[in-house]
Amino acid sequence: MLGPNEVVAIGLSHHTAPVSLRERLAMPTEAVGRHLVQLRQDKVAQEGFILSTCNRVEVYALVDGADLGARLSRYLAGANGLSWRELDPHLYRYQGADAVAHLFRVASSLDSLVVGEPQILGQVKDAFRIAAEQRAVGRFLGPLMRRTLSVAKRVRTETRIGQESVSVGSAGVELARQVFGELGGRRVLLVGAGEMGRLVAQAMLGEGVAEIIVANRTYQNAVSLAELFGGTAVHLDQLSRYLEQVDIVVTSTGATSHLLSRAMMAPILRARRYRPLFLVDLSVPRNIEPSVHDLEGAYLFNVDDLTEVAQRGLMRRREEASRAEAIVQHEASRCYRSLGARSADPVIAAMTRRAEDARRRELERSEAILRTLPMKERQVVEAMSKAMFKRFLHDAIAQAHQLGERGDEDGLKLLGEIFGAPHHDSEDDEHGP
Amino acid sequence: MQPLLFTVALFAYLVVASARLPGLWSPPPWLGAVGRVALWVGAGAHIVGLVILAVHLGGAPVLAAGGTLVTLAAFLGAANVVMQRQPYGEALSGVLGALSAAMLGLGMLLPQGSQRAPEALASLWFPIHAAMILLGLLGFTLAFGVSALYLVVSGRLKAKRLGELGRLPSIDALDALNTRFIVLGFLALTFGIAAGGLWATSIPDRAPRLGPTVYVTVVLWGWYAAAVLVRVVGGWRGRLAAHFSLVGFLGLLVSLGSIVAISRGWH
Repeated sequence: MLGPNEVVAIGLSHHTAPVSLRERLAMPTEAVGRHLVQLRQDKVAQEGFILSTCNRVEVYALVDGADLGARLSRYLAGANGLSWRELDPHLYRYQGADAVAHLFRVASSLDSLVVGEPQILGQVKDAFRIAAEQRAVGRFLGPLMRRTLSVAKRVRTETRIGQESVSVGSAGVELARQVFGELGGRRVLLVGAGEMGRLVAQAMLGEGVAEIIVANRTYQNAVSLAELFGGTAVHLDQLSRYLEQVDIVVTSTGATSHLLSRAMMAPILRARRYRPLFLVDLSVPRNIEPSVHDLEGAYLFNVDDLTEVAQRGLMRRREEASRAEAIVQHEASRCYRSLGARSADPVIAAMTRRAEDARRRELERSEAILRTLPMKERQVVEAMSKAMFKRFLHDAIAQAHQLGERGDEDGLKLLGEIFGAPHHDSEDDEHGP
Repeated sequence: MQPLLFTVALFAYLVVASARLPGLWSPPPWLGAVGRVALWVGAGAHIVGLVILAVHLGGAPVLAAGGTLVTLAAFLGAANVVMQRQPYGEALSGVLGALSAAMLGLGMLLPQGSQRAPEALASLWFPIHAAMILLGLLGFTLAFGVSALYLVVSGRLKAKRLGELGRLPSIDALDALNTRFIVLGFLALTFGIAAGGLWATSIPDRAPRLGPTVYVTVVLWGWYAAAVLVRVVGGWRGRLAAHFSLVGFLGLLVSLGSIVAISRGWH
């Protein structure tokens, strides 16, 4: 427990709810801000932020320890026009260190549909930004947000969770990189308008290729596709000319025979002076004669090769995920302990304030004597009194931190009473990250 | 002192090769850190040892085969420190580490020079000749290492051993590096030969004479001139260019080894 309160995570995701339900609960940006204000006005939560993406809607909040988010769950249903019975079976609830660990897992992309995908961290940052703008986070969730970002960064840096290709498109890019390094400035020839070919071309466009040339049996289809990629459309009978110029060829047509044969490619590769040509044949039946791969300068891969790379990437990501999980669990328990220590802040502030008052009073009582002393000696007395009180309070403050970390509510209360400090003072209402 | 430093450097280079050559497969991250530290230790000890040897001999140790190999290996170690920072430079660093270890080990076994330098070396042309030839040899050695790695990566792509590509450099990057090193080596060798000719004619009471070193150098120059023509002027790429570097370097080793065995010195 964090004092009388607790941090909870309540929501649903692709693991627990169908898209039909997720889309009803999803909140646009402006609604998120509105709900954050409402949650605090209705005293459902003291602090909170909402993460709403196409795969999940989650509310992280600091709530009353006795309630543990029961009101929050009902609020979620009511605010989105859902019945409690409809929503409840799909909701998951985490509290305390488990809630912190869940947030770390989500931000580190361990809970994503495609483990290791990078978009989720941007979405988490957006959620934090909105909450900060609404001043909906404070003494507890403010530090939690900052810690979340650094844990997600640590997971990315210390594991290879985001570095493996897991789709056919990214596998094509990975293999092309093994030939060319960076793909910026390379020219791509897309033969055919098949879906897989489009995906690979799209992925390469994302890597900064200079141009995509589209060749298709139906010229009008080539024009439409070229417009989509901002490229150039060419007729299929001009293929040889462009094969000499481009760096990457992607074929994805419905043709039943080889469009590019070994006999056709050998003189082209010689004319290129064996400058590397990366070929991806995504068609079934294949459009490029397999023995083209044996020619000097040609590197030909088919759909099975790309699938193999993607599956290997997925496997590696799973291996990396277990390493990432260990980091997340370790960081979550550390973070939750430090949040607990923060629940002692009001008691520590009151202790320090009381000690300072006492010190000042004693100095004022001795003012008549102190005034007779030279300035240097008065400064020594001032410094010594500060040091004495600081030393006196040191153990008590350390004890308060430990009580906070352990969530020992009674101990903190007792300590606060000894020093005349009410445990849950007005600082609980401080907000702002 | 310098034998101890050279021994430290030799072991460090062997550690670099052992830690980074597995990069050709799949290196655990900690092995990368071991290789990095070992490379700095090796290059540092090597350069300090070389400076001590140079002070002891009263000049750069390039008159004997052993000294030349030790010096060349030191330059290779320094180049490795710079190149390991390149993207995916770890595998290349492993190859260069192995080459440095082999050259240094051989150099330690052979005579590294004597303190009595011939008077003919007083000419101003000699240091230019020696420095340029060393730079040329460094370029060809680097081109050899890069080409060897090129053939490994290209072979794996051709064999579709996709799981073993790991974090290897792209073949295009290796091809470009090979070109740069061949051109560097060729230009330096050309200037070195010209400076050597001027040096030979500047020696009083001694007519320039042809010998095995001169013949080997001319053949070597012709080979690399052909490589530059094929790659830079002709624009031919790929395994052909890599094979030029490999064969050229191996030929260089065999020829120079024979000269040392026959004449126990360079000139």
